[in-house]
Amino acid sequence: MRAAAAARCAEGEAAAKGLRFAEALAAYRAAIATDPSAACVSMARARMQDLEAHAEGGFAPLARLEAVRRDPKKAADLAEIEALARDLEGFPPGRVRAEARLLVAEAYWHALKEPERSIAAFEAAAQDQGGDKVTRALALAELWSLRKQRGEVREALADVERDPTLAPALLVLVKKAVLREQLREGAIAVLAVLAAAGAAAMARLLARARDVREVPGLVLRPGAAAFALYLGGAGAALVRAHGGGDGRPFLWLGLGVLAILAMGRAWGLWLGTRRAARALCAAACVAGVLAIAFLAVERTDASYLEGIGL
Amino acid sequence: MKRPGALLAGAALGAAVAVIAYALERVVERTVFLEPNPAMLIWADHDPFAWRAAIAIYLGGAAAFGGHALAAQSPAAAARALTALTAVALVAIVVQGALLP
Repeated sequence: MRAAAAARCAEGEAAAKGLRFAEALAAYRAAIATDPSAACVSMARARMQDLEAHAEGGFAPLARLEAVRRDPKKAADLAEIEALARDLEGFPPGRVRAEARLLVAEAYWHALKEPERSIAAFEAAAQDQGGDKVTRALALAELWSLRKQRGEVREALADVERDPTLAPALLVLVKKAVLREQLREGAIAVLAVLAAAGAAAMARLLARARDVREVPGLVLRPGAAAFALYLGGAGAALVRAHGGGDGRPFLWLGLGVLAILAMGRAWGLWLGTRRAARALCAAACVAGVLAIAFLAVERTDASYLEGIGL
Repeated sequence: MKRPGALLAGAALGAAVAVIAYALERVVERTVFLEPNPAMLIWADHDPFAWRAAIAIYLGGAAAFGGHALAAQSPAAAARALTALTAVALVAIVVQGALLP
């Protein structure tokens, strides 16, 4: 009995290898019926369940998919992939169609370097209601990786939000990425405005100075330079001491704060001692330091942002 | 205020801020970032107290620059700030030590 079951299992394996999936399914069923306690039966049962889940269209779609999936040359050949992409539109709804879409998408992305076509295929795989949830979620995760690589986080959010229940953890991740992008754009806008205002104040100082060599000393006070050096240097040293963390965000923060302090000084010399002007100047400096702090972390080691929920 | 006096005032203000920073760090740590069960920990990267103290000293050091600038410009304002910050630091560390040790 045991030997007969093992022979049925071997027949099943051979049939599956030859893409004769109906025959393989029958052999696995026969092995289980012959001797349910045989060593190969647990494997046979798993293969049987997998084949039953991919049986749509009488295994013709699965055979078509496997013919490409098992051959690395075909899986990296444009004509083969385009042919599979055409054929799969005729597949009945089911797991095979979604898996075929995923295979096509991966091939367009990695082997054929055609990301636009890959995006369309990933989107189709993720939205294929006939596919199983794991395949569709995988397609969505891969689509996110590709979109992120291309800097298309807002488009990725639209993709994920089409079916928010498919990958809830991914949705949270993508929303965070979009928030980070919005904050980055806001920080860059703030710094651009401050840089323009700082340049104007500096130009005015240079135009009015009797000796331009006096201007750096006017806008850059020793205390401010020492403070920026401390902020960057001591901060970097501290995170290096903390298990060899990345000290670059602090170095950029120190440099940025030094620039903001110089600009603030230039604005102060321009605007005078009026209370409203000084308050405006202080608010602009605070906004500038926050923008620099965010960019310093986000551009160097964004993992720090995760600690504060971003 | 003369330079040594301003430096001392700055250091004093920085020290008060460091104490407040330590108390705040501990409160945030105890309320937001819950520690893992010590029984489950076999080995930890850092002594949490030493790490909190280092961050508090760093922040206090940054505040010392502001304190120095304030003391150099307005000794009276620096004296008022030092009194207020010392009181706040005392209350903060006592409350933190009593309620969230």
